[in-house]
Amino acid sequence: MKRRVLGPRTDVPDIVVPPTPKPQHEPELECPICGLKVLSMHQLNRHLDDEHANASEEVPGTLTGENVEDLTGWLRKKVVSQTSKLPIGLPSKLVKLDSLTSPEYPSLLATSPSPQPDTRGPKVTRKHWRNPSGNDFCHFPRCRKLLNVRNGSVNCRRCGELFCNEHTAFRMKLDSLAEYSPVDGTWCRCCESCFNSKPGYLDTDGATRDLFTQFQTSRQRIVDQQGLKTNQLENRLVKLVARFNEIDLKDEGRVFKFFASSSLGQKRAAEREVVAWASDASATHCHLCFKMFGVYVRKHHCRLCGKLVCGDEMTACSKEVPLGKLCERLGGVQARDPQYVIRVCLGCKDGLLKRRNFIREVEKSELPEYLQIYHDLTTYEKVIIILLKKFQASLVLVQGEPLDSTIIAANKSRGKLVESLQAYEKLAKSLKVAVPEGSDDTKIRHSILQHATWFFQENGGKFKRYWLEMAEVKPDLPAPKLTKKQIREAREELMVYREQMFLIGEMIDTAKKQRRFDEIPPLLDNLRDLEAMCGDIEAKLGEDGF
Amino acid sequence: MSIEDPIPRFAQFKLVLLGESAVGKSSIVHRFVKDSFDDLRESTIGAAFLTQTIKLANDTTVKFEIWDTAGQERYKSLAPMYYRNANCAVVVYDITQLASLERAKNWIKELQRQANADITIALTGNKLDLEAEREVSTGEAQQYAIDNGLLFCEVSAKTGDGIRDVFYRIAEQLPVEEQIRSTMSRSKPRINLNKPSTNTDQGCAC
Repeated sequence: MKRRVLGPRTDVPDIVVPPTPKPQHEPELECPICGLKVLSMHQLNRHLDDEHANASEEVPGTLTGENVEDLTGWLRKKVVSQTSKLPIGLPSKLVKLDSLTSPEYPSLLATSPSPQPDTRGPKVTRKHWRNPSGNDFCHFPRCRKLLNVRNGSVNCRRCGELFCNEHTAFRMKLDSLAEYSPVDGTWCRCCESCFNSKPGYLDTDGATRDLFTQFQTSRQRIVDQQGLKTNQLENRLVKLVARFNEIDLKDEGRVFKFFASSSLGQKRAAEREVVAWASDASATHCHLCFKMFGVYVRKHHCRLCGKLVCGDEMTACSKEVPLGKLCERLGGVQARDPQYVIRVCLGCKDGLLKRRNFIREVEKSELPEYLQIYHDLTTYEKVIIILLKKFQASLVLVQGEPLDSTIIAANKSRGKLVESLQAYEKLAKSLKVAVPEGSDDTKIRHSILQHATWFFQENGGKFKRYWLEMAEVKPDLPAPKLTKKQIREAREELMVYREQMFLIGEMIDTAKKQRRFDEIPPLLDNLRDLEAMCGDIEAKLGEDGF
Repeated sequence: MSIEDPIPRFAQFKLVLLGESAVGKSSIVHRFVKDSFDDLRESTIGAAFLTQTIKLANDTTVKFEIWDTAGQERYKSLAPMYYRNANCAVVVYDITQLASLERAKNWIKELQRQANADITIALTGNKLDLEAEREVSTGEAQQYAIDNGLLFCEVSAKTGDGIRDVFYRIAEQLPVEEQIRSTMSRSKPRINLNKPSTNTDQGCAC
């Protein structure tokens, strides 16, 4: 049978009365007992139930045990031949079940208890398979079972290594080159690591959608607009100040200062030149506080935007600001007459000064200590994550082939990782020690600390797990391989200790000869110490000893 | 001898000598233990062991178990084993060699770090007989000793000057009373020499 048969359908042949609904279009069937023609299996089923339910009572001779078996055999054959044609007009229940084998749900099927390989896809290459030598062990790091008839000896279809039955209980879709191909691959048996390394399977990051650029472009539009507006206001102010300066300069040259009133008129005219004033009839209400203009609420013109505003002290919709103050805030321009006041509305004042204030504040403010620490912490986090990945990769290498070079590399990355984890912890602790300055600070500090603790536990735990995993495989691995220099030094040390043991032995002999028994206990103590030391060094040296 | 014969007050301490090679550690010990001096002493191999007892004023006997370590670099790894549970250490330098004082300071630092916390350390300048070739002034070494809370002496193993002083001063610093008390509390049954013999006349005739 070629198709994968799922649970409910396998039941069908076992019972005499098949519960599965039948497809609509079918060739004619005939009852095996009376030869009645029926259109569908369902009808046949009904007919058998109705007409021949107690057939054995009716015709005792015709339905012997043998006949019953014939009947069930025939039914089984029919059911099998029908189910193999199922794809057309499948009942909804079956469609649902069948969808499990479709490419859209590969992982669901992969975990199902007893899937069978689907041969519909391309033929998967077997070139990379490892040939069994008769004395193989399961390639799964923690298993290492001898592969034989009982344990099984199965090649992972993807990596080609030999595994026991237990550790190839995974399925994934492979293409003809034995690479993962979720869309049009063939279901193949594979090992756990191949299964886990499927792209997208254990990637805990999940899907991300970066909307930042989108946000930035839309945000930039507003920022640009505001910048333009601010520029415009600044330009107007600069122009205004320049005109006033001109007038004042002319005025200073005059002998008769009491003609000042004429310069005041000129200034008023200049104010109107720089920005066109809105006509008094254009507005009935203040555009900021929406108060109606009248006898008490007078109309005023903002000298920078020309709009009509009220001069209410309470709402401060517009105010007369000395030019000197504005120039001081803005910087770069100098008014000859800083005492001269111009009316500026609230909106223009904000627009004019906000940017400058913001820049000034940014320049002035230094990052608080805890933010500095946070910055450092995030840098460390990045480093730790990279190191962790490296470490894991090196561990995999070591598990693959425990050569000196791979072990040294693994130890190196482990050392680096430990170092940066320690540095991270220290930094996070410094956050705890630092004296809180205000209630806002303490909250932020607390949050940073919490994050740091979480990060440390998460990654420290990961690190430990990797390490333990490796230790399980090779219990003797954690002891770092000795370098030649270390071996030489350890041997020298061992020689010194052995020499000293010999000397002490002689001393004990002499002491005994000379009847100085009180000297013997400390000497014996020392001899024991020396023996212990020698033992330690020998253990450390291992096979590098003498 | 009466039954009330006071139990002899006795304490025993482990002492270790440290210092650069050829500063005269073995000579100091030999002067102290055997009161002898050898001009052509060979350098020590490993560590030598000697004992000496001294009597203090208040009828107390103090026994020193002396470990005389070799100063050569080769035997450096042995030293920790001997100073680890030592009660006192004599760190020796040569007053005619400034470098030896530096080495002594290193030893002192190591002792303060690794040895017993209550170890008594005596900084000892040897070769006082070679006053003419002196490189280390008394003041400098003494100041260092005061700063670090050490005993300080200058001695000459050749002439024997100040040797006994060093050990007596160390003994004064040691917790003699405490040790005597602790040994008394778990004192072993002592043999009474005045006890009448328990041997009966019967038995072996020899």
